[in-house]
Amino acid sequence: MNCRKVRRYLFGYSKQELAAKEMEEIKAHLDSCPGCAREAEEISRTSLLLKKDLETFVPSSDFNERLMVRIQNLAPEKEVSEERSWWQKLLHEVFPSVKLRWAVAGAVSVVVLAFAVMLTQKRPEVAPQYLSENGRQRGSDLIITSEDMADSAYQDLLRRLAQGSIPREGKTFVMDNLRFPPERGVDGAIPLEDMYKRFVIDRRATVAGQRGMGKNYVLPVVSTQTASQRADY
Amino acid sequence: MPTPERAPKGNWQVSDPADKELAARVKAGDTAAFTMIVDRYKVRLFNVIYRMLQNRDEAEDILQETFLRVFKEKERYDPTYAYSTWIYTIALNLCRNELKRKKKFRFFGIDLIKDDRRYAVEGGGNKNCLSSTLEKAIASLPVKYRTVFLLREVNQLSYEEMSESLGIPLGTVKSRVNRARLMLRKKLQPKIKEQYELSKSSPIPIWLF
Repeated sequence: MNCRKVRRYLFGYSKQELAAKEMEEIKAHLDSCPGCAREAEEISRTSLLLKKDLETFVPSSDFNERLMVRIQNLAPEKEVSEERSWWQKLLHEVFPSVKLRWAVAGAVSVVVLAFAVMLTQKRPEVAPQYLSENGRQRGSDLIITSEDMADSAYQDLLRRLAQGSIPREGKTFVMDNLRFPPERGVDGAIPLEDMYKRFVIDRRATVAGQRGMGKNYVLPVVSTQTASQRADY
Repeated sequence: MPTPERAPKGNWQVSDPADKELAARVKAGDTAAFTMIVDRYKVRLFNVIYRMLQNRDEAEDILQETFLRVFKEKERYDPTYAYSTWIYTIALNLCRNELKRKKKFRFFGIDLIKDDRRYAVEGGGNKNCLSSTLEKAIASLPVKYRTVFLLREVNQLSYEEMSESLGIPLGTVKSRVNRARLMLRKKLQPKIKEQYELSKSSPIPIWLF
């Protein structure tokens, strides 16, 4: 063994932690090497000081008492956990942290609340607007909720036209979305009353049904356009 | 002035039940057995944890937490290992986490590491000041060396026990202990020389006091 190696093991040697063979080898070296022997002496002094001068501290006198209080408080919690039903166990498995469980509970209740609000809100019986076939949005003048109403609504519209609350003079009424009757064109050649009747009953019923509005009939907007405007319609 | 207690090794009677027996009783929920375990280990653990954290209150908290875990997780103790090893593992992990947490806070500019040097006053009054010099030197060791040093020198654990508690190979433990001792010696060298000169001139070696 050389000096370097010996010095590395001197602590172990002084504490007799080394294997018997190594102890002997080091002892032999120390006997023949005064430098290492001095080092060994110093190291054993260090070990001695470490041993003597390390104080022992004790935890405060009420340590056990405090601990046992906490242990007692644990007990009921334990019982509860044993009484958990399968879904509670599952919940605790999936969301082990209490914080996370609260967060999930919060999120779920928000979603439920949102659904509840959505469901209780009265759905408009018919969407107030619909898209015409060329993509422009129209408002509806009149909403008819049953087939029987169609006639009276029609009568009502006629009355309003007669009263002039819907302007008519000098203009051609163009029924938007009017696809029928194709053989007669869309250009106002059809008598308005006729158009209306058929429109309401045939056309709008289909459209409303397609858009998921139930059995409602919508009278489309009667847009007023001058003849010149209508030319490029 | 109260005389500080010395090394806690063997501070219980031979007639006391062995760890394993107590462990089985604790597992069955026997709080009296648990108290015996607490009394058997609290001083030893406290001396390591205190020197790791450098703060008495925090050390007590961690010690409380350790025993609380020992009790709470009693089902999870595997009797093929020593009970002491298991307890040490819990304590050391808590210690490590605490140090990590403090380091993180220090990174954010909040210094949680309050060097509380009460122990220098507690026991060191009647002595030469080596005691606190020694403690300071130990405190200045890097954590991984400090841990093994304390387990070895203060608690007198065997290298095998340390290796199991820390979950690191035996050879690593040995070399770390040796390294720690050499580092400590380097820090203490001037002091030791001084002490030695003093003791040579006085009829009785001074460190016996």
